[in-house]
Amino acid sequence: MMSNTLLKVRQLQKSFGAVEACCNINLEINKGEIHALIGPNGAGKTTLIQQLAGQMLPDSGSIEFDGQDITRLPAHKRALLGLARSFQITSIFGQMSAEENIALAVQAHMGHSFRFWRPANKNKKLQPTIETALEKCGLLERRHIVADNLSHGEKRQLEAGMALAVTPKLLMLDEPMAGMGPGSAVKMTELIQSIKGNTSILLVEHDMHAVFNLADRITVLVYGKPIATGTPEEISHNQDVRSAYLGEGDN
Amino acid sequence: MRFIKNRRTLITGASFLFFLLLPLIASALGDAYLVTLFTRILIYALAAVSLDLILGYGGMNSLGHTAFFGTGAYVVGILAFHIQEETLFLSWPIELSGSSNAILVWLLAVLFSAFMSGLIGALSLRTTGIQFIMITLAFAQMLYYLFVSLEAYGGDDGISLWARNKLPIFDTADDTSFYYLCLGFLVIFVFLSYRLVHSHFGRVIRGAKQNLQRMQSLGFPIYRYQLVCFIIAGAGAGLAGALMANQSEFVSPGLLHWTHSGEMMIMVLLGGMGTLIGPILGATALLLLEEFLSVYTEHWMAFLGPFLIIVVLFAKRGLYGLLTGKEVNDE
Repeated sequence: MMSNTLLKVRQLQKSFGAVEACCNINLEINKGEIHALIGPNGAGKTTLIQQLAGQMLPDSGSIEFDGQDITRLPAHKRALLGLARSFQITSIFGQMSAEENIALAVQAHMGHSFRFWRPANKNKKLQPTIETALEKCGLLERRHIVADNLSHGEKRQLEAGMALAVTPKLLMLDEPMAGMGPGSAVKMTELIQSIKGNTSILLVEHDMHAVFNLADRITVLVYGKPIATGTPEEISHNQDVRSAYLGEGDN
Repeated sequence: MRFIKNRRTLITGASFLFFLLLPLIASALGDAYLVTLFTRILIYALAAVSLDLILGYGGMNSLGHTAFFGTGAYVVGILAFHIQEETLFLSWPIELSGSSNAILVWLLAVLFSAFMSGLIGALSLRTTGIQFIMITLAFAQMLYYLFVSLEAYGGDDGISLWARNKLPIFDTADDTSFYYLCLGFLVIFVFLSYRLVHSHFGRVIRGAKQNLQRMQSLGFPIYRYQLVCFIIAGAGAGLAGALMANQSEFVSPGLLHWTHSGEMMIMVLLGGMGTLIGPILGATALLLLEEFLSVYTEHWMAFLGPFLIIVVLFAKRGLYGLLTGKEVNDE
């Protein structure tokens, strides 16, 4: 029997000196779900993503992805297993065109790149995947623009597009809507909705409207500790969450 | 866009034509020294283009590139030394003598430089940023002192070659022939580099320069790609070194001194980082300025310095950027 759990985090622990950024985190993400991770600033959300993606190693605990222990696996190997991430601070290749940014993401999954002779931009094999990804993230018409010259919203779309290009099993989106205008935020919500199903998503976001619209389940993180996990309905009625986080301003 | 592209083609074509016709110009002017000078320029251009592969395209700021240049030169020097002294290079476990066969010697120079850059690169590429600069510099200086202390090969004084390496048919002793040989090597190397930077491999290398973390999170084991790029650049520098040893018929530890690496870096910066024609322009400009300023004053560096600062400050892509217009991105 195939298990329905894609990512299993067990007792993950990470501290920086006396600060416990992740304190005994247990987390399960099911196949096909959108799992939102919310919490006030400094709750350790990005630190958790860093450890899941392999940019940072935990002090203790384990991470299991698709039935495989990946706790100590380097970042690039996790990516090839189907674990993609986007960054909170836009992380793209500024001097390359939007298309070339996506092309790099696609190329990473097409075997090694020790190909020295043929021009990369004439590779027909990559082209269909690149076009699909450009269309998905809404940059098909802006494909030849150098990434540095894209608008902030477009950069965020490109950021997500690169993570999406190869249909990852798990996509970790670190505040995809940060700094976006309302129009772009709607576009991003649509984008996330459209990929739901084939890809599980771990969504870190401050836009509560988007989170409660999109998420199947929500985990609330406060000071590195998960205080509740449940459906949006359950979370919005959870007293602990209300007092610790949601209701902070209202009460 | 079209205009820029045309200007690029124009500059590339004009430089090629100039180098092609230079020996004729020199003989028309009756100045044979020009050929010698421009042979040096071509050789340094080759070294600078190879450095730009790691510096401009790969974002690996190596201050030890001369280690591979020097290695290539010393392979030529040491093998020639054993011919001249009629001694064996190696007597155990197999007997190896020196050689003056250009094909063999230059191939060995390239291979050995590649090997050295593999060794140095494998260790240095574990670091980034300022540490990388320092560690490559340290390795180059280690090699420098190694050759200084090798009394058997002349130590500080280096090795004088009695003649250039020999090629079948082609007369390397003739300065004009040797000039065209160097030009041929430069053209071939630039063409190979052009294919390289536009290939899948080149895209990965350029990506690593712009955003290392993102490359890893996309799934690239970036260390391997950088190392291979470092080795290719080292091999190119090795070839340049071997040619240099032949051109001047002399090798000394001075070739490996770190200031020499700095000079190559200046050629790249001056000409335009991240372009293939730029380093050639840079090498030409720097060596010509050096040549002509030093006629007037021994403090020529005092004039060169400000000039360099102005170019680097005001031209985004050095001389090449100036000539082609401002909007030049990575090609």
